[in-house]
Amino acid sequence: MIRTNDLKKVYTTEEVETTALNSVNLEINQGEFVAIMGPSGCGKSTLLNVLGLLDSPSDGEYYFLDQEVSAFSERQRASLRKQNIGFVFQSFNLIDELTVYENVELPLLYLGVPSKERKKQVTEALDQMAITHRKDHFPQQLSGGQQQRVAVARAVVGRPQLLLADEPTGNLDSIHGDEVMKILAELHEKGTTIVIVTHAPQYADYGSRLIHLLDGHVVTENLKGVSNA
Amino acid sequence: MFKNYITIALRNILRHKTYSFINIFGFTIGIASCLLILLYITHEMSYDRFHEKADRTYRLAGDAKIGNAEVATAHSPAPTAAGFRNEFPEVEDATRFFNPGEQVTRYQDKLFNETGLLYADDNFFGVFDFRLLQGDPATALLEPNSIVLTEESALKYFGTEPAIGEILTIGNDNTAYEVTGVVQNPPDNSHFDFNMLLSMSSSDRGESDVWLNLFLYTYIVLREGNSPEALEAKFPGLYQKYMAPQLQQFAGISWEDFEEQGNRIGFFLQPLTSIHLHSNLDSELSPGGNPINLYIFSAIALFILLIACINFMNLSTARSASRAREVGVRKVLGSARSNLVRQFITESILFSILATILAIGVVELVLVPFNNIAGINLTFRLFNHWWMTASLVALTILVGIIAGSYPAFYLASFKPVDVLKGENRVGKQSGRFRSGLVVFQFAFSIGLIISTMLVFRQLGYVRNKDLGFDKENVIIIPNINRLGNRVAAFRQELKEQSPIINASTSSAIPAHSGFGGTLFKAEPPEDTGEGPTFTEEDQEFNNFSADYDYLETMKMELIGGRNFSPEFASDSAAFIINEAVARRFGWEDPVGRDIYVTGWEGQPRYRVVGVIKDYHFESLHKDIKPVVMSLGTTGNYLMARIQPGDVNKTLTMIEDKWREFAPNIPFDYSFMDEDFDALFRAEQSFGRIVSYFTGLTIFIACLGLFGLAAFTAERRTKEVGIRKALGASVPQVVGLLGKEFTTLLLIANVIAWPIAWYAMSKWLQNFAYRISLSWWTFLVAGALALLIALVTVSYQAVKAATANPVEALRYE
Ligand SMILES: Nc1ncnc2c1ncn2[C@@H]1O[C@H](COP(=O)(O)OP(=O)(O)O)[C@@H](O)[C@H]1O
Ligand SMILES: [Mg+2]
Repeated sequence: MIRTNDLKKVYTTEEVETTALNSVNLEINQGEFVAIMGPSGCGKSTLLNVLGLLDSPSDGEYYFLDQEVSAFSERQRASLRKQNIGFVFQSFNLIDELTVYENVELPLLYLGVPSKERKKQVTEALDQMAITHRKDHFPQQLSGGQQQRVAVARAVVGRPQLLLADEPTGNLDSIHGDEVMKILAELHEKGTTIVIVTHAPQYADYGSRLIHLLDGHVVTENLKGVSNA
Repeated sequence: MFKNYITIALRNILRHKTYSFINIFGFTIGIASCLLILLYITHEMSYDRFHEKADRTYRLAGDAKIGNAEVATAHSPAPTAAGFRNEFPEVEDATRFFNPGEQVTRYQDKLFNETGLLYADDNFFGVFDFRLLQGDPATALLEPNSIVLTEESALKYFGTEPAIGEILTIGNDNTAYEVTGVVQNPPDNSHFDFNMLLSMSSSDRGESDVWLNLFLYTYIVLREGNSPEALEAKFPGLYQKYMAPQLQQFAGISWEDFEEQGNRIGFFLQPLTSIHLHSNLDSELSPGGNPINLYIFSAIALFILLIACINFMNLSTARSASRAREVGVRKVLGSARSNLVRQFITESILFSILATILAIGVVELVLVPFNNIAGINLTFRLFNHWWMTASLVALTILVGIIAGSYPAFYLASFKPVDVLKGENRVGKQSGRFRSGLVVFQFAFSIGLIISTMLVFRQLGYVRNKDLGFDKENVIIIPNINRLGNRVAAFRQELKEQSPIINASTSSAIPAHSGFGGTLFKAEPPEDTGEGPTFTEEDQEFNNFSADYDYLETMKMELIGGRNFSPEFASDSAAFIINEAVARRFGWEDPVGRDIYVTGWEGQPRYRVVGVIKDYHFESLHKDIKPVVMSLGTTGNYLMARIQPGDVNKTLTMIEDKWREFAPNIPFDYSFMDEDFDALFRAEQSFGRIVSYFTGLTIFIACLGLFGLAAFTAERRTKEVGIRKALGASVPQVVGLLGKEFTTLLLIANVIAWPIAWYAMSKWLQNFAYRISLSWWTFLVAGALALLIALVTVSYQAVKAATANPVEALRYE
C-alpha cells in the first residue's frame, strides 16, 4: 500500500534549514497496524503528514496504492486523500461550530455521498464509537475522550483504507486513552490499515510493527513484541 | 454542502457578535447609502420620461450674440411652432406655452396669488402626457378663456364641488376663464410645473409673428426615425426665410451684415429628457439638477460601501486564526482549496444579504428626512421596477464577493500541517495589507472631514459677507403696482409708522429678478439714420430704476457724486452707477460723464450723478457686474427697512395697512436676508448631505479600527503581560498599542491632504467670492481624525494594559 524510497523533507524558514526526514525507506502493506515512536522533534508528525498526503516530500519517491504521488498537486492529493485516508490528531481538531453529527458528516459531504446514504453511514460510525447519544452536542460540551471518539468516527466514516493517528491519546488520561486504542484495534480487525504515532510503549504494542525514528532516520523496525524484549 | 456552509456561517455570526455587528452594520449603512443614492439618481434620470413621445420631443432653445451681449435661453419666438410645422415634414407636432408671471386669481371670495400659470396651445396634451381627470384633452384648451386646473388647484378653489363650468377671474383686469378640465398634478419628475393651464387663444401674445422676440417655450415632436441634428442642419434656411426680412425691417440691417459684425441669432434643439440634468440656460422653467452632485454623492456612497468592505477584509483576516483550524480540518478531510474559497465567499454573501435586508428597512426609515434635507421627493418601492430589484441583488452579491474574496483566498491558502499543530502562527502575514487598507479608509475619512469643513466655512462666509448693503431687517413687498395710483400714498403711509425706518420702491431688488439688461455705450452713437448699429463698443449692463429713498433704505454707500434729488429736474435723465461700470468704461472720475443707452429707443443720453460702492445684487456665485440705476417711481417692489425687535407685530401692521389700501389683493412679502439665504439652499443641502455621509464614513471606519484594535490587543496579550510583569506602566503599554495606529493615521493625512486640496479648490471655483484654503483646516481635520481614532483604539489598549499580567500569561 505504501512504499517510500529515500524520502526526504526539508523545512526552510527564515534562513534556517531543518531536515525533518532524511532518506526514509518504508513499506507498509494492506492490513498492517504500524506504530511509530521517537523523541520529540524527530520527524514523526512530518512523516505522517507526508504519508497522509497533507504535505509533499522535498525529495525521494512515494508510492501510494502503487502510484507515484510525490509530485502530485494539492488538488490531486486532496482528491486521493478524501477517498482513502482518515486522520486522527492529538488535539482532536473538531470544528467548534458544528455538532458531533455534523462533524462526522463532513467527510461524506466532500465525497459527495447522497443524503440518505450519508445518514446511514454517520449513524453507523457514531454507534460504533458509542457516541450516538451525544450527536447533537457541540464539541466543547464533550470530554476529551468523547471528542477523540468523535474524531475517530469522523476519520473512519468514509471507510478509508488507511487511518493515520498522530498521538491520538496524547491529550487523554489513561482510561480514555485505552478506550480509543481499543477502537483502533477493532478497526484494524475489520481490515483498516493503521499507522499510529505514540509515546506510550503500551499503546505501541497494539501495532503489528514498530518503527523507531531518530533525527529523521528510521533507526529500527521491529516486528510485534520485539519492543518488549 | 451548501447547507453546511450556511449553518457554520450563521453559527459564526452568532458566536462572534462584535465582529458580526461591525460587519453587518457597515454593510447595512454602505448598502443603504448606495440604495438612497440609486433612488436619487433614478429620480433625476427619470425626468420627463413619462411622456409617451419623450424620446422624440425636443425643446427649441435660443442662442444669440448681439454686440458684447451673449445669451442662451430656453425661450423661443411665437411663430416658430407654426413655422416648423409648415417648413419641416419631419416635425410631427409643435406646441408652445408661456408663463405670464404672478397673477391674482379669484373665485367668489377666494383670492390667491398664483405663480404657476401657463398659457398653452390647444395641442398641449397631444405632446405632453399629463392625464386629464375631467374634460376632453383635444378641446379643453381650444376656446379662448378656457382654463384647465390641476387636481390640487381645483381642490383649492372648489373643494369637492365639481369644477367644470365654473368661472375664475384672473389678473388685474379680472378676465373671466371657464374651467374646461381638471388635470392630474404634474409629477415631481417633470422639468416644468403648473397649477393652471390657460388657452393660448385667450392671449394675443401667441399670435405674434415676430421671429426676433424670444419669450415663450416651444416643444417639437419629431416623427419616428428623424434625428435632431439633421433638422438643426436645416435651420439656416429657415433663418433666411423668416428672420432675415424681419431683421432688415426692425433693425435696418441685413442678415449678412449682422453676421459680418460678429452677431448671431438662432436656435438649437434640446432633448426633453436631458433638460433637467443638462440644461442651464436663461429662463429655465425650474432650477435643474446638478450632475456633478450626483457624481459626488455616488462616489461617496460607493466609498462608504468600500470602507465597510475593507472592515470585512481586515477583520476576517485579523481573526483568521480562529478559522484556521476549520480550514485545516476541512483540507485534511479532502476539501480542495476551491471548495473553501466558495465556502468563505458564501459566508460573506450571507453577511451582505442580511445587511441588504436591514438596509431596505433603513432606507424606509430615513427616506423622509433625506427628502427634506435634499429638497426632493423620492419614493421607494422595491418591487415596482425589475431593475431596481435586480440592481439590489447584484449589489448584494458584488459586496459579498468584493469583501469576501481576499479573506477567502487568504484563509483557503492555509496549510493544514501548519494550522493543525495547535499553536497559531497565522494571521500575522497579512498585517501590512491590513495597514494599507486602514490608511485608505482614514485617508478617505480625513478627505471628507476637510471637505465638509470647507463647505460649511464657505457657506458661512457667503452668508456673512458684506454685500455692500444691509440685507437684515428689510421686508420686501412685491407686486406693489397692483395698488395702481395709490403706491405713493401707501409708501408714505408706511414711512410714517414708527417701526418703519424707511421705505422705497424700485424695479429690482438684490437676489430677486427684475434687473433688466441692455446695451450701453460711452461715446455718442453715430446717427446713420437707419436705426441702431450693434458694435463691439456696446456693453451689456444691468439696469433698474428706483426712487429717492433707495440708497438710504438699502444702506448703500455712495462713494462719489450724489444721490438722486427732487431739487434736480434733470435727474430724470441721470444714472447712479456702480464701480464696475466705471471700471468697464475705464473711467477714473465717472461723475458728470455721459452714457448712451444704445439698447433703448432713441438711444437716449444719461448723465452719471453718483457712484455707489459695488454691491452684490446677484448670488455670490457670480462676480459683481456693472449696473446702472435710473430714477423712477414705477418699480414693482417696495422695500421697508424696519426696526429690529417685534418683527411679527410690524408685519401685521403692514398687512393691515395693505388691506386698507387694497382689500381685494392678496398680501405677499418676504425678508431680504431669507431671499439671500435661499440662493445658497442647494449648497446648504449639499453641505448637509455631505456632512451626514462624512459622519457615517468616520463612524464605520472607526468601527473597523475598533475591531482591528481588539484583535491586535488580543494578539499581543502575552507581550503586554510580559512587559507589565517586567514593570511597564499602563500609559507605556497604551502608547505601545496606540503608536501602531498613529503612524497609519499620519500616513493617511499625507495622502488625503493633497487630494482634498485639489477637489475643494475645484468646488470653490463655483463661487466668485470664496474663502482661501487655509492650512489649519487641514491640520484640524487631521487632528480630529487622529483623536477619534485614538479614542477608539485606546479603549482596547487600556483594556489590554490594565489586565492582570498573571491572567494574561496564563492565557496561552
Ligand atoms: N512547518 C515547519 N516549518 C519548519 N520546521 C518545522 C515545521 N514542522 C516541523 N518542523 C521541524 O521539523 C522537525 C520535525 O518536526 P515534527 O515532525 O513535528 O516532530 P515530532 O512530531 O517528531 O515531534 C522539528 O525540528 C521541527 O522543528
Ligand atoms: Mg509531533
